[in-house]
Amino acid sequence: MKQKILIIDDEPDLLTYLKTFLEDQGYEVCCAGDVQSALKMVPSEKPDLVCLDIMMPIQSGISFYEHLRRNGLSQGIPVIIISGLNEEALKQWVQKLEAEGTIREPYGFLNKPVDLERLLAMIREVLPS
Amino acid sequence: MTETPIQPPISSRGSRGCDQWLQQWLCENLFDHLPVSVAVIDRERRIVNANFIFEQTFGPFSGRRCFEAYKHRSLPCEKCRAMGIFQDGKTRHSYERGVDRSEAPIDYLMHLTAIPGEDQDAEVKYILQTAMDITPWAQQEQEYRLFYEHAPCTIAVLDRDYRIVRGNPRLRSIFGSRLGRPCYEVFKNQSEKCLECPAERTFQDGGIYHALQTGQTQGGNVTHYFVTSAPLLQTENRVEQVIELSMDITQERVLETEVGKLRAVQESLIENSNRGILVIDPEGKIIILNPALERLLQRSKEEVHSLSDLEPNLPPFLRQIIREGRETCLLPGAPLVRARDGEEIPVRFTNVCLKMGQETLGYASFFEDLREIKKLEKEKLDAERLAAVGQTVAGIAHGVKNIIMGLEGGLYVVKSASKKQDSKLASEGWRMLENNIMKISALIKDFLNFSKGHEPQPQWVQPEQIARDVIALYEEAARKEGIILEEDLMDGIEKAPMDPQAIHSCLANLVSNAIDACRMSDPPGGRIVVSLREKDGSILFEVLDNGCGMDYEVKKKVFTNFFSTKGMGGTGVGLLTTRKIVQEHGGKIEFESMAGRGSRFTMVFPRNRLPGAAEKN
Repeated sequence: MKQKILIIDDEPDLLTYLKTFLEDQGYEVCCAGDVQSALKMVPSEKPDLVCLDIMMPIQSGISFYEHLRRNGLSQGIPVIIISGLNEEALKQWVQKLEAEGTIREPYGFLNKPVDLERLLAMIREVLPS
Repeated sequence: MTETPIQPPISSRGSRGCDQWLQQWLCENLFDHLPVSVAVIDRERRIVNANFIFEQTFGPFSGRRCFEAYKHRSLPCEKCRAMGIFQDGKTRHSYERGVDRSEAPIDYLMHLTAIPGEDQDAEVKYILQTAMDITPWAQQEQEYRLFYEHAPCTIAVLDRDYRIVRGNPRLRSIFGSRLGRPCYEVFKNQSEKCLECPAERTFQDGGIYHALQTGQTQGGNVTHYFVTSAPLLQTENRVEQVIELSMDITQERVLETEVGKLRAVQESLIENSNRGILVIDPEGKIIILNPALERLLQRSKEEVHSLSDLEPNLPPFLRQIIREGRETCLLPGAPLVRARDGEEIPVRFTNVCLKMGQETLGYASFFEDLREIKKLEKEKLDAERLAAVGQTVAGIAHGVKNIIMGLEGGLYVVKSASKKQDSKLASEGWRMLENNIMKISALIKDFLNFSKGHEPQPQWVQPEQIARDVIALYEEAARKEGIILEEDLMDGIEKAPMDPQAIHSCLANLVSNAIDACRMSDPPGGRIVVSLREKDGSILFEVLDNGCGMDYEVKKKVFTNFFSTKGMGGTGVGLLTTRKIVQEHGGKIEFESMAGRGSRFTMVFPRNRLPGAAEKN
C-alpha cells in the first residue's frame, strides 16, 4: 500500500509540481489549497506525512500546525515545513513552540524553491519503505 | 440785645471821679461787651443772667439750666464742676463739648468761678461761667491727631541733635519705641548721621526737602521709604524742630525690582527666541519684531513700523488674521511667508490676542521656521521610501521564489509528462510555465512602477467624487461575484488638494482586495461598504468587508514586502503602493482584521498635511 502525503500550499503550480514529483517517486499524494480544506482532509485522507506552507491567505500554516498537533487523532502525523519565509522567521516560530513546550516541533524545514533531492531524502527518513 | 460800642467820656478826668464812672460803666456794659459767653447760675444751676455772646452762641438763657443750655441735656452732667464750686468756692477750668443754638457741636473752654456774696463767709450763691468757643481749633487739632495716629507713613519730630522727640504709632510699630534716640540710629542702625539728610537741610534753611532712603526695621528687614522733611518749630533765626514724614515704598521697590527682572527675562526670551515674534498694538503699530523674525523675513525692525509695512512678506490672509486679532494656530503646510529675497518659507503660525481683563493690549504672532523640519520630513520620507524599496527587494526575492518554483515545476511536469506520454499533464506543465512567465513579467512591471515613484500632483478635488468613481468601477465586478457593494458618503465635505489618480488607485486597490476577500470567504459573497467622512480636520476613506479576513501571521505581513495571499492573483505590490501614496499625501493607512470575520482599511488624510494645502489660502 502506497504511503500518502498531504501537500498544503496556496500556490496551485507548486501543488502540481510536488504532486507530479512525489507520484513519480511512488507516493500517493493529495493536495489542499488552504488551511480550512486541509483540516477537512486530514481525518478523511489520513495522510502519513504533511508538507506544509506557512504564508497562506485567511489562515497561515502555523494555525494549521497548532490545530493538527492539539488534535489527539492527528498529533502523531509528521510535518515538513516548506516555506518561502526566511530561516530567521521560522526560528522564531520554533523557539516559540519550544518555549510553550506543549507541542512538538515539525520534523524538518525546507526553503522554497524546494531542493527535490533534499525533500525526497527527508521524506524517506520519515517514511522508510 | 444789640452790641453797643464802648464809649468812655473823653472829658472825664480825675482818678476818683473817673474810677467811679468807669466802675459804673463796666457794671453796666462790660458783661455784654466781653467776646466770650458769660453766664451766671444759681445753686439750682438756673441761668440767672447771660451776656449777648452767650445768647448768640447757646440761645436764650431765660428759664434754662446750665446743662440744658450748654449741652441740651435734660439731666445735670455726671461730673458737674459747678456743684464742686458751690461746695468749696474754688475756681475750675475744663474743656467741654456742647451743642450750640443751631444744634451743631461746639467745643469750648469753660472757666467757672464763684461770685462772692455780700458776706465773705456766706455760702456761694452764684457762679460766673465763662465759655470760650474753640471749635475751629479743636477740629483742627482733631484732624491733626487723626492724621498723626493713622497716617500711612511714619512721622517723627526731630530736635536739632536729630533725636526723635515724638513719633506716631506707625513709627513705633516699625522701628520700635526709641524716643530720644537719633533718627539715623533708629531708622538705619547707624552710629553717624547720613550723608544725604533732608532734615539737615531743613534745619539749615527752613525749606521742605524730599529724599529716598533705605533703612532697617526693628526685625532687621531692609525697608525703603520716601522722606519729606519740613520745619515744625521755628524761631526767628533758626528751626528748632523738624517733622519727617516717611512713606514706606518697600513693597513698590520689591515689585519694581521683580517687574524689572521679569522684563529683562522677557526681553531676553524674545530677543533670543528661535521663533519669529511680532507684537502689534490695536492700531497696527509694531511694538516688537524680534531678531528671529528679522532674520526670517530679512527685514530690519527699523524699516517696519506698522503691519502694512510687512505687506511684501506676509500673505493677505495672514495679515487679516493678525489685524483682526483672531486666535489661531496654522499648522505646517498652510502659511508661507516671503523673505526679502523672494524665498517662500513654510512656517507654523500662531496668533494670540493680548488682553488685560477686557482691555485689548495688542496682538502677538509667532512664526516658526519649518524649512529645517520640512527638509527633515522629506529626508525621512525618502528614507522610508528607500527602506520600503529595500524591503521590496527582500520581498521580491520571496515573491520570485514561488515563481521560480512554478517555472521549475512546469519544466519538471512537462518532462515527467513526456516520459509518461501524458498529454494532459504536459499541457498542465506548459500552462504552469506560461503563467509564471506572465507573473514574473507583471511583478517586475509593478516593481518598476513602485520604485520609480513620483511626486503627487495635487488638484483641488471633491473627495466624494473619487469615492463615487471607484464604486462605479467595481459595482459590476462585485455584483458578478454576488457581493453587495454599498456606499456611505458624508455630505458637504469640501474640496481638498489631492492627486486624484493616485487616490483613486489607492481606493480601487482596497476595494479590489475587499472583493477578493469576500470571494475567498466561505461561502463566497458578502458585503463591502465604502465610506467617506471628515473628522477632526482629517478626511477618512474607509473600506469595510465581511470577507475572509486575516489571522495574526498574515496581518503582520500586510505592509512589509511584496507579500501576496492571492496565489496567482496578485504580485503583492498593491498595498505597498497604496501606503506609499497615502504617506506622500501626509496621511496614514490603518487596518483591522479578524480571520473569518472581515477587514477594515482606513486611509486618513489630515487636511493640514495635504500637499499644497496652502495654495488655496
